[in-house]
Amino acid sequence: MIKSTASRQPISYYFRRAVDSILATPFIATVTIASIAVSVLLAGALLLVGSNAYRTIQGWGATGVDVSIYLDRGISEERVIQLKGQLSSDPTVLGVQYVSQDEAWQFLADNLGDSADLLAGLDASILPPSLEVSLGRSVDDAHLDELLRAWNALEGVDDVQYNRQWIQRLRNAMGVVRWVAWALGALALIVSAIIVAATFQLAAFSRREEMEVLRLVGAVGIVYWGPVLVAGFIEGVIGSCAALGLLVITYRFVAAPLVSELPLLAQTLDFLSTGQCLTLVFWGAALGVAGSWMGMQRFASWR
Amino acid sequence: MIRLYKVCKEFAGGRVALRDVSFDVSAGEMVLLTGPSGSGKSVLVKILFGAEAPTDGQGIVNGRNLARLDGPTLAALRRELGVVSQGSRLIDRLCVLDNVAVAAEVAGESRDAARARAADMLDMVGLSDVADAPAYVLSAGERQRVGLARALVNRPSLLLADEPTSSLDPDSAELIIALLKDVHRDGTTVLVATHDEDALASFDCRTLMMYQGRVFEEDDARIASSL
Repeated sequence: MIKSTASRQPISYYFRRAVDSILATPFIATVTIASIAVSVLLAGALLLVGSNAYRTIQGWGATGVDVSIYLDRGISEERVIQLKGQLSSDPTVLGVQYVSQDEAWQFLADNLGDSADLLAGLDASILPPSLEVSLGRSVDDAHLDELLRAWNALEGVDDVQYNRQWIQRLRNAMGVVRWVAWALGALALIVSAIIVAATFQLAAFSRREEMEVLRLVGAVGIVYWGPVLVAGFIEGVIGSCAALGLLVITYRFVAAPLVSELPLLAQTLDFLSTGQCLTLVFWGAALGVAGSWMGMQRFASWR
Repeated sequence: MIRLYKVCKEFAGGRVALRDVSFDVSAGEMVLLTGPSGSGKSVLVKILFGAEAPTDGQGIVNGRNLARLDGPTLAALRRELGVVSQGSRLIDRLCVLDNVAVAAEVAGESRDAARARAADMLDMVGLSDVADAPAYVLSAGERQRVGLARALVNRPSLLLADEPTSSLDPDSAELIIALLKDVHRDGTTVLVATHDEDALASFDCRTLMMYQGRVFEEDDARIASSL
């Protein structure tokens, strides 16, 4: 006879009913999946750009301070040796390397990559020889300024350039970019939440008939809500996987030309980690379940 | 089986649908509930299966107090009852067999057992040949028979039918009436709310009349004066 307590169904019941309802309303299911995909795509794109930018800045920051001391063209070898000795005498200097005009030329050609033909008609003499000085990360700004002033005044030195200044500027700029990214992320989240909520209202309306019948025959609790939430979960997983697929394709198209133009990025540029991908899929699935649950609230007051 | 005592129903806005409705229906009995449109028949049936709550009075259906129906108790009551309403609601995307089986599944049957039992019910209402067809292809009469099959698939002790023959052609209406009689003959308590005169003439059972939210027994002299 009839079971008076709330019935329990095998997990296959929920998935079968969920898949049935998705297949029965393909247009609404597609719109729902697409809205979740857009949301996950926005989040994924921000995460991808953000994590790569962070990694790149971290990589640059980890190298300490590199100072390039450009020497007069035609400087004697003896004077170069003297300068190396003078520079190395400071305890904060980790190393000094001489870069000849030919080596500088080769370095430039390597960095230009496919665009090396820009150098056609020129030769190594246009570049000055230099001494590349590595300073420890611990060197403070006051001591650095003092060193730079002293090195700039040395005989045979044409110019002194160092990387801390532009890294600092870049970091300051990244701070602004980070806030802009957060603002854009929040805006994208709000927009996608509105789209997803509206879509799920539509999906809920399409299930109205089914929910009425289920109430009429005594469905309650998990038997009533379960298939709808599972449908949201499935749509969420499909939507987030589709978004990840799009992100992979876009990354492939963008990353290769970017590395070709800026070979230095080859060390740091990478796609999202497995953990980040799983987080995005979880986010999509959670969005699907939450959206379904909110959409179904219109039926919560039914008797 | 059913016991109502001074049940009242007043909707928001002050419209009174039921006034001091009191009657009993014993187990195994068949009762007709009739009266003009707007007399309160459908509201009364809705109260009996918990779709509406009474605003006053006491009611017991199948041993359950209508004033104390929380979610799980209400759902349990519905699994014990069979309900057929006017223009039976079906899940159009499902096939006819699954529309019937869903009630058995919700009551805890396995999918195979539910479908087997649903097939028996469709055989009973003469719709075995359309078992695999989607519900949206059915005629109004066929939909009503599927609704009846779904209401009976859990072998309920009480069947409530609200205007089961309304807007059906005479042949379909006759078939539904015959099925309701069969169900009663098999021992199920049946309450049919209808204002269809042909249907009323087809039943030979106790009749309750409703007028302006009140219920009168068939032989009550007040009926004549008030109608």
